Order: sequence, then C-alpha cells, then structure tokens
Amino acid sequence: MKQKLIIKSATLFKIFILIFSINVNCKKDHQNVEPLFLLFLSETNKDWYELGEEFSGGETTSFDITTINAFDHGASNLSRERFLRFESGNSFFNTTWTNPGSSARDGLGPFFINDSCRGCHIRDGVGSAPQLNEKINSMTVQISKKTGTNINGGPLADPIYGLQLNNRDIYNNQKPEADPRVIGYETKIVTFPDGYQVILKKPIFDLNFNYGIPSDYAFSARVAPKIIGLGLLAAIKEEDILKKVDENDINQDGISGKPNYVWNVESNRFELGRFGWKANQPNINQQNQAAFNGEIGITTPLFPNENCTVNSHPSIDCNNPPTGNSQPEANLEITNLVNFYTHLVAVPIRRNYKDPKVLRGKELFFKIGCESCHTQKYITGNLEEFPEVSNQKIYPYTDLLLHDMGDDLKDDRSDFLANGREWRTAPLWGIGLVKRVNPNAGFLHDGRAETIEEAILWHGGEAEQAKLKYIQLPKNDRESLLEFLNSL
Amino acid sequence: MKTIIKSNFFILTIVSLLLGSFCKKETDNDNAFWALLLTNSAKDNSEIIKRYANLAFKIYEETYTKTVELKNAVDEYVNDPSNQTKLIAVRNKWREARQKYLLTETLRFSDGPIDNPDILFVEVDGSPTELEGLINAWPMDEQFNECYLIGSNIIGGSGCTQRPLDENSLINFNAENDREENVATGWHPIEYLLWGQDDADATKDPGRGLTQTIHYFTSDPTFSPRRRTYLKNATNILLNHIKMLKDSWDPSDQNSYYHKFVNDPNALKKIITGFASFSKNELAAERLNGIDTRDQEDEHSCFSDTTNQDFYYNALGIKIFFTGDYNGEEGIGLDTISGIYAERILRQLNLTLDGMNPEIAPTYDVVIVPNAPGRTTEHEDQYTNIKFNLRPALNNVGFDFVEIGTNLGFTIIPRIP
Repeated sequence: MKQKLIIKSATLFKIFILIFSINVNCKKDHQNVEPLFLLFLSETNKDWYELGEEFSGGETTSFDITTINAFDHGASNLSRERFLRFESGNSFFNTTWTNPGSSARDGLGPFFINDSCRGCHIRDGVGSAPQLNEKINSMTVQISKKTGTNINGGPLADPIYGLQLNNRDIYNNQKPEADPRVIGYETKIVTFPDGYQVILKKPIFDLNFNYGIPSDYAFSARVAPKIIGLGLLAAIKEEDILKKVDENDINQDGISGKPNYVWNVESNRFELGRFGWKANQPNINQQNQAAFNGEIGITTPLFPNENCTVNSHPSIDCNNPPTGNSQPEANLEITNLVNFYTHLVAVPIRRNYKDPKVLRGKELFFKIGCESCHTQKYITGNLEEFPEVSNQKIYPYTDLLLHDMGDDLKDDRSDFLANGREWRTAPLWGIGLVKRVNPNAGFLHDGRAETIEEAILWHGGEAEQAKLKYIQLPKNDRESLLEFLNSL
Repeated sequence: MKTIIKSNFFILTIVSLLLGSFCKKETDNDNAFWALLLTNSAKDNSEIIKRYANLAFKIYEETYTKTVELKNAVDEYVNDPSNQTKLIAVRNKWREARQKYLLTETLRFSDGPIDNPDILFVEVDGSPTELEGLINAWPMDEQFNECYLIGSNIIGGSGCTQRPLDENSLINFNAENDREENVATGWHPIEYLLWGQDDADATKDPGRGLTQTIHYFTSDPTFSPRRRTYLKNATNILLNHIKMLKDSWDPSDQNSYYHKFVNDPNALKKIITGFASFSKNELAAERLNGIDTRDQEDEHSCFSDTTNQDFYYNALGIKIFFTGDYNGEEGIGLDTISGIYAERILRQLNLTLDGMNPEIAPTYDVVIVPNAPGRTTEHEDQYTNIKFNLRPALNNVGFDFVEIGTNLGFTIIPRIP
C-alpha cells in the first residue's frame, strides 16, 4: 500500500516536471544558453549511456582498475610478440641511469631532475605535487627568456640554465643548477551559493638559483603527466583536431581553440603540436628524446649534446662534460623501444559507467560546456607501425588545442604559439584513477589541485563560464559531475 | 559407478556454486565452467599450495646453508687476503649460493615475503623496505660503491668519500639520494668486490683477474682494509636477509608466513601471478633486453660473467615450483591442473634450460655484443637462438600461465618488475 503511494507521487512529480519543462522550452530562445534551472529539473536519462563508451581506449583498453599499477599495462590488442617488445621498452622506461663510467646504463646528467622516466611518471601516472619546502622530485621547472624566441620560434634558452632547472647533479648534488621549492601558497576561497566553501592554494616557488639570478626570465613549474593512451592521441586525425579550431571565436561561444604549431627537429618544419602541457611537442618520439635530454641528462639521436651549460661547478666542466660509454647514451634502439612502449600504454576501462548518478554527471558535463574543450570522442586514423591504435573509437575528453585559462593559471611563459595564459586541454581519461596510481599526485600543470573539484575551480578564461555554471549547480548535481569524472 | 558420477556431479555443482559466491568479482560462469573442467578437486589445490610452500622453505633453507658457506669462505679470505686459493673458494661459493637463490626468484611478484613489505621488511633510512631490492637490486652503479662508500677513485667519480662500512650503515646507504642505482647491499655489490669491472671480451677471463682482485684487497693501506670490511659485512647482511626469508617460510613456526599462505584462499592466484610475471615481464622482456640493444650495459651479472646461470636457474626455478618436483623428489604441482598447457610450458622451459646451460653456453655478453673481441659463429648462433627461440618461449610461458589462471577462474594481472 505504502509503495503504491510513492509510485503515485513520483508519477505526479514527473508530470509536473514535464509540464514545467514544456513551458520553459516554449519560451526558450534557441540562440541563448539553456537556462540553468532547466538542468536541475531535467530527468536523468539512461539515454546518456552510449554503447561501448566504457572502453575509453577502444580495443586497446585495459582492465586493471583496482591496483596501483592500473596505468602500467599494454594495449589489450597487442599480440604476444609485440607485447614482448612493449615490455622490453617498459624496462628502459623504468631503467635507472647511472653515473658516467658505470657498467650499467650510464651517462646520467651531469645535471638532471630524475634518473629514470618512471621516476617522474610514477607507475605511468601523474607526478607528485610539490610539497612545502621540499625538493621537487617528479616535476620540471621550465625556464626561458621572457622576451624573444629561438631561431625556430620556440622558447629562448637561458645561456646558463638552458630550458629547465636541473635540481640535481651526479656528484651528490654539490652544486645543481637550482633548487626550486614551494615556499608558500596564495590562497583563495570559493564560496558556493549553498554556503559550501573550497580553499584553493596556489604554490609560490622560490627557484634558488645556484649560478646567479638570470635577467629577464619566465618560468613554469609542471608536474609529469600520465602517459596512458599517447599513441591513440597521436593517431587522432589532424583534420579532426583542426575542425574545432575557432581562434577568433566566430561562433561566439566564448571558446576559441587554437592549434600550436611547433618545430619538428627531425623533419625541420612546423607541425601541429599535440603533446606536453602547452602542446609544444609534435610527436611522441621528440617528446621522449627531449625528456631524456632535458630531464635525465641523456644524449639521444635527436639531441646528441649534453644538457650542460653552467660555468663554475666544482667537479663538472661543461666544455668537456662527463658522458656515458655509448654515444649517444640512449641510442636509436633504446629510443625506439621507449617510443614503442609509450605509444601503447593502455587506458583503463571506465567504472560505474551506467550508474544513474554518473550518467547525470555526464549530461551536466555536456550541458554546462565542459565538453566544448574536453572533446569526448574520436575515431582515430591510421598510425604507421601501430595497428593497435589505428581506427579505434576512443573517448579521451580533449581537443588537444590551446585555450586561454585565465589569470590564475597563467605562467607568463610562451611556448611557440601558446602564450602565457594558454594551455592545452588535458585529456581526462583515467582521471578517476590518478590518485589510486599515485596518492601524492596533484592535478593541473603545477600539481596545485589536490582534488578534481579544486582543478575545476581553478579554470578561468575561456572556461570561466563553465566553471561558474558548476558553482551554481546544486550539491547533488555537483556530486554527479564529480562522480562522472571519477568514472573516467 | 553411476552413483559415483552422480556424487561427483553433486560436488562439482557445489564447487561451482561456491566459486560463484566467493569469487564473484573474478569469476563469471564461463570461467567456473573451465574451472570444473580443469580442477580435480579442492583438495588437490591445497596440496599444490602446500607443496609450493614446502619447496619455498626447502630451497630458502638450502640457499641459507650455501650462504653460510659463502660467509665462512669470506671470513677465511679476509684474514688471509693474499691467498689466491681462498679467493677462488669465495668466488665459487658466491656462484653456488646464488644458484640456489636464483631458484627462489619464481616466488617474486606473488605478494609474498620477498617483495611485499607488508609481510616482511627491513628499515632503510627509516622506511620499511622489501627484501628483494636489498638482496638483488640491479642496475647498480659500482662507482657509488667504489668512490662514495669505499672512497677510492680507481674507476672514476669525483669527490670520493670514505663512509662507515658497518652493517647498519651499509643497509641505509641503499638508494641514497633517491637513486635506486645506489645499491650498497646484496649479490651484485659482493660480485663487484670479487670480480671488478668486466669487458665483453671472449679472449679474457671475467673481471680484473685473480691477481688484480687480490691486489685491490691487499696493496693499498687505506682502501684494501676497507674493501675487506665491506666484503665481510655485505656478506653478513646477505646472510641475515636470506635467513629472514627462510624463517618466514618455516612450517615449524606457527606464526610464520607459511601458515598464512597455505590457508590463504588467494594462494593459487598469487602463485600463478608470480609465475606469469616472472616468466614474461621479468625474464623474457626485461632481463633479456640486451638482445634488443646488443649492449653489455644491459647484462645483469656482468662482473662475474655468470649471466647464463641466472637464466638457467631462474627457468629451472619456474619448472620446480610449477611441477613440484625437486631433486628427484616428486610433488604435486600446478601442472596437474593445467591441462594441455602443462606439456607446452615444460617444453618451452626445457628450451631455455638446454640453451642457457652455464656449463656449455657461450658467455652472454659476447653473445649480445656484435663486435666483442673473440666473438665466433657460436656466439652469433646463440644470439639467434635466444632472440628467436628462447626469449619468445619464456614470453609464451608467461602468457600460458595467464591463460591457466583464466581457466581456473582467476583474472591474472601480471606485475611489472
């Protein structure tokens, strides 16, 4: 008897909503943004589930969603034979490089940030957020001249420090380039209409230069991003990325979407940038070799010179820097293996993807405008030598384009066409497992956001409107949106 | 006859229901179906698990005995360091003890005492640390040991320092400065002290040669005594750590891991995860990556040139724990419930055992380095054999273990080395 009553009242409620919605719809001017209160009333709909959307990486999708190694698995469609090559590549991604002269893989440094790829990309996930007053260990601080560019239009290296501050050296850190540390925070309180408050903390860095303070410099602190699904991103057709370009905001949605064109060292020309926080690398190979050289101090086929430019280290002479037994230190076979590996690290399957709350969150994600930049899906093209990632239906939630993210996120360091306020839309796949893989991981470029909600609240610039809509949402809808993000 | 079939069917039904209820997360109906086809009975599984645990204790015990012999040989040598015979004895004891240890590496990646610090750990610089790295870490930067611990610059380095070499200090030097390649304890630092650096050269003995090694242990008033102290203390540490492992598997201690393990409902899954991870992720992919790079830098036991024995005894270890048979003593192993996979796995493991036999196989570093002095067609043939036969075989063994797991109703997620 009691049950019946409930059903009845629920039905009445539905009818009420229906009538109400129709009224609103009739009044609605289609040129305007949908009135926000409509969102609160529209019913969560099973239709928001799309068949197969849980396979974020298409057929490459992996199935470990419970362990700390959830990001450290190969594409599920790798053959046994290619899996062997994948794991051999993994071993070099994990290899710790040793001082020049050792019998193992040697040639570390002389200046470096970490001694392995894995050291920063912890279990292939996001690096740890910098802790107050502690040495940074899985992020880089990039530096360059504030004005001017190099001959290829990229950041102009500082004559002493180069393009990143290496905070370690191979002789027990006698005198590394610098020792950047977070020395405090600028805090900001966000108050929601329902009184809920979130305290945001923006880290303040002291760079602690060891070789003098450079004149006219810009810097940008960046945690190591997760490396899942990179081959799939590489396989997205360029035309599909450019489709969303709207640099002058002709459609007047407040969102521009700008491609970065960056220098390809191998082909000697400008190409669309896809990788890195500012889409400043055209392909995975160049990204990897640049990281070997800049962050580990390992010479590679593309970057054969030691990253050594300081002038007064007590034991290191940069005119004649200590080098490893092999030249380059990471030879073509090693960079090929690491490339193979980094193309094929799988994206894990989504969780709770049919949960009504998650589907409601997904609906809101689209309706308040998040998806305008965090583009949901693509069908990849053909990527030569990588059949696994070719022709896959994928759900990365990124447009790989640059967007003005506002004052709070700006770093004032331009990188090719990306100015100091612009960042590449970060792919959201796997975001719900980031903390499982590395509990100390921080979100956003400098790891400042401890939670996904904090990351949303830091959005500004082109994302300001979407953020404001998020703040206006009632509590259960905010929770739904976060549950959706956590299901990715 | 009929009744027996019926009651068997009844038991199977019960088992399938149990699988359905206890392993809900991992078992779907298909897997339960396969489990029924492959599994004899729950009793067999517990016997497999028990045999595995008994072998773990037995082989750790033998490793311990052999490491005691190594320790005794070291003690004799450091008191008489110019005695060539005694140095040869130490080297031989290192090889023998390591052979036993290599058999136990199959126990890795199984959430057990060797690499799960929640079960067994040593404090390193204040943090609980698994034993595996303290015993067998590689790659190691020997310049750290030579220059920053012993204090000599004979193999390079800058600002070499003489650090305290007592056991406690040595343990805490591991991964100093957040660098995993700083390996102060375990097999490889001892190996370095006993052999020194080595070239890929078929025309020379491994390492610096006996005379040179003795020279390092005797001639220098500052560094020779320090090198002797290091050798002695590192050997003691190794012995203690192996004793901890042995004790953790001791069935006579009611509180040991042995008893937790044999009563652990996930024991079989852990066993298979270890087999799969060790065969394909560790042995095939990582340890044999020098086949890809053709560079001696990727050879693990490079100082002593005993890398063939690494592969041989590692593969033998998988075979022993898989079959339950050891030293002529038969036991019940996972092979009994592995269906058609059993024969194939053994065939592929035997390929490695034949191809990597340390008594006859050509030296690994010369095999992988294309322009090594003294390299012959025998080395090139071995390279081809490893690349096209042995390495894929070990990889296949790992995948077969994953499939055995699937058929028994487990989702096996191999661990990354």
